[in-house]
Amino acid sequence: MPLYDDSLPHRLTPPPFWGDRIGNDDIELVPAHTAGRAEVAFDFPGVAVGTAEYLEGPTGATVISIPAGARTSVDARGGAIGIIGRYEDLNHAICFAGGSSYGLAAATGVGEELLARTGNRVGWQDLRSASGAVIYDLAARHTGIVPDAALGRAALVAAREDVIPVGRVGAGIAASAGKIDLARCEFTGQGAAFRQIGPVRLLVVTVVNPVGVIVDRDGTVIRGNYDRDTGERRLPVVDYEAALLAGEAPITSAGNTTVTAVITNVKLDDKELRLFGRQVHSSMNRAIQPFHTNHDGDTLFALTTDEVALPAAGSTRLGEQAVNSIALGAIASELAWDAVLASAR
Amino acid sequence: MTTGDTVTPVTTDHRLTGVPVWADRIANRDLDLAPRTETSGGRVAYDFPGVEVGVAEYAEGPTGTTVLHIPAGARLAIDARGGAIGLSSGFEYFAHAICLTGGSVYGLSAGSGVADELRARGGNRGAVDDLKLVSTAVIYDFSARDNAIFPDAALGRAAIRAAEHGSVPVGRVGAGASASAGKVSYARTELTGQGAAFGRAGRVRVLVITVVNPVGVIVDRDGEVIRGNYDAATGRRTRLEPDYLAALERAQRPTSERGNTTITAVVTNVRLSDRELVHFGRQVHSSMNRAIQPFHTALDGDTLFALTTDEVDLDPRDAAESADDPITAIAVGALASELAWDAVLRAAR
Repeated sequence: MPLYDDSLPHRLTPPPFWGDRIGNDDIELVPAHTAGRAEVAFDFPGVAVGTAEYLEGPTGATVISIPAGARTSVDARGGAIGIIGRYEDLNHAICFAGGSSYGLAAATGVGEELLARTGNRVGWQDLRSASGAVIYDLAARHTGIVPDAALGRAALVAAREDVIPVGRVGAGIAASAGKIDLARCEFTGQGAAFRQIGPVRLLVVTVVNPVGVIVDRDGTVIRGNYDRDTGERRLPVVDYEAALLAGEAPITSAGNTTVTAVITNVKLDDKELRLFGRQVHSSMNRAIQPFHTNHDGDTLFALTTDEVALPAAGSTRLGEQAVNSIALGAIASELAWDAVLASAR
Repeated sequence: MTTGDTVTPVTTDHRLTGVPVWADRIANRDLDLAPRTETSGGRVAYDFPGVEVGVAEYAEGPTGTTVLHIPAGARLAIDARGGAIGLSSGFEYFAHAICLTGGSVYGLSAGSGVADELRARGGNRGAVDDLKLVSTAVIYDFSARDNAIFPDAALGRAAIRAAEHGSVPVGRVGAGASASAGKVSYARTELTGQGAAFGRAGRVRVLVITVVNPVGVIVDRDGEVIRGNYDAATGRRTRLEPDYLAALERAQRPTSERGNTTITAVVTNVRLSDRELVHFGRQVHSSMNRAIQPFHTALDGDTLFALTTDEVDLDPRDAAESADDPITAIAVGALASELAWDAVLRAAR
C-alpha cells in the first residue's frame, strides 16, 4: 500500500484488524530507509538523526545520536507510557519506535551497537546509555511486525548530521491522530524543526500519534477526527460535549502516544533542564488537542550538550537563573509546534 | 558519633570478586553463545498457581536473566528508588512478565526477548488488550567478571521458555550469576546472587524474588554482616559506616564503587487498590534496608516491582472500601517484608 494517496481529501487509516497477524519470526525483514514527505535541514555539530523502517509493517524507528552524550531530563506525562532506559544523567542516544511495548527492543539494538563502538568497555564511565520511548501504531496497520534490535541499530548506523526526513518515515511511518473513532483517524508521522540563534541551537524531533487532533496556529484542525460524511475535521471536545449532552459515554480509542526530543547546546542546570522540558512539552497542547491524556503515553526527552553559556539574567537570591531556560523554552515551543505540523502535512 | 558497629566473626570463608580490569573486552558478537537453563544449586519451593519462574545464563559471562511469568497478567506498581536506575517498561501499571537481568544498560535487551516470545505465543495480535507487557530492571554485574557479555533477547527468550511453576533457583544463578555486595572497594566486594522466599497464610500467597547487588553489605537478623566489605587482612566483614566515618574523621573523601543495584519482584494474590499496591511495594522495598545497609543510595538503581493477581478478597469490606482501609495491604506488606529479608539472605549464603 502506498504511504500517500494525494488524490484523496483525507489520510484515513485503514479499518483495524484484530486477529492473529504475521510477526517478526515469520518473515525475513530487512531495514529500509525511506525518504519521507519532506526534509528538515539542521546544523547541530555532535548531533545526528537516523531513521529505518520495516516496510512490511509498516513500522519504524528514529534515533537521535549524541556520541559525546547529553544531559537529559525526561518528562513522561501520559497515562500509558512505554519507556526504556529513562536515564536522567547522560544519554548517548534516544530511540523512538513504533510497535508499542514491543518496539522498546529497538533501543536495545542502539545500545548494543554503542557498546560495540566502545570496544565493549564496561567500566561505569564507559557505559553508553540509549533511552527510548514507543508509540502504539498497531491499529493503523494489519501486521504484527514490530521494530526490533536490528532496526534500531540500522537507524543509528544511518544517522545523518544534515537533514531529518519528516512525514510517514522512521518511528512515524504508521503514526496517526484524532482517534475519537478509528474510522475517523488519519495518518500523521514524524516531524522536526531546527533553529540557530547566534551560538544557540535548538532541535526538536517528534513522533505524533495522539488521541487528539493536530491544530494549526490559526485554530484549523489539519489532521485527525475526519468526518467522511461532511469532509470536515473537528476538535474532539465537540464530540465529547455531544456525548455528554446525550447522556452517553464519550468514546475514544486506546493506543496512542506522542514522543518528542528537544535538544539544545545551552548550558542548563538540572532544575532548568527539567523545567525547560516541561514547558516545551506543555506547550505542545496548542498543536495537539487534547494532549497528555490517560490514553496517551506522551513523553518528552529534554537534552543539553552543555556547550554554550548564556549571560545570566534574572537570577534571584535563591540562586536561580531560570530566565534563560524560560526564553529558550518559549522558542523551542514554537519549534515544537512547527515540528508537529510538519509531521502531519 | 557511633556507628552501631556489630562485632563480626573472623573468617577465611569469603567469596571475594577480585578487582576488575577496565580494558577492551569480548562481548556477545565475539562468541557463539548458547543459553543454559538447567541449574544445579539450591531452590526455594513455592505454591502460587499462575506464577512461573525461569532462568537462563550465558556461562561464559557468567551473566543471566530471571523471568517471573504470570500468563494471566498482574497489576503492577513500580518503586524505583536508587540513583542509577536501569528500567524498561511497556506499561507501568500491568505486566505479564517481569524480567530481572544482569548486563547493566545493555541487559535491557533480555526483556525484549521475553516480549518477543509472548507476542509470538499470542499470535502477534495488535489490539491494546492483546499486548503482552514486560517490565525489566537490570543490575550492573561487569565488575565481578572480565568480559562484556550481556543478557540479550535470545537469553530472555530462553528464560521465559524455561519458566515453570514450583521453585526458584537461588544463589549464583539467573540474573544473580555475577551479583556482588559491599563495595567500599572492589578489593573487599563479595559475590552474592539471587534469592527467593515464599509465604502462605490462609489463602494469602506472597512470593519474593530478588537479585542482590548493592553497594551495601548483607545483614542478618542478629546484626551480623554475612556478605560484603570483607577485609582479607583481618578476615572480618564490617558495615560501610565505619569506613565512611574513618574517612570523614581524617577529612578524606569516602570511597565506594559505582555499578550496583538490587532489583526485586514481590507478587501476591491479595486484591489491592491502586493506592494500596503502591504503598505495599514501597513498604516492602523500604524494609529491605534492614537486610542491605546502606540501601537506595545514589550509586544503586534499586527497583521493586509489586504485583497482585487480585484473586483473594480477605473480607467483603476490603473489596468495597479498600482504598480507605489499607490495613490488609499493611499486613501483607509486613509479611512480605520478612520474606524479602529471607530472600536477601538466601541470595548471599
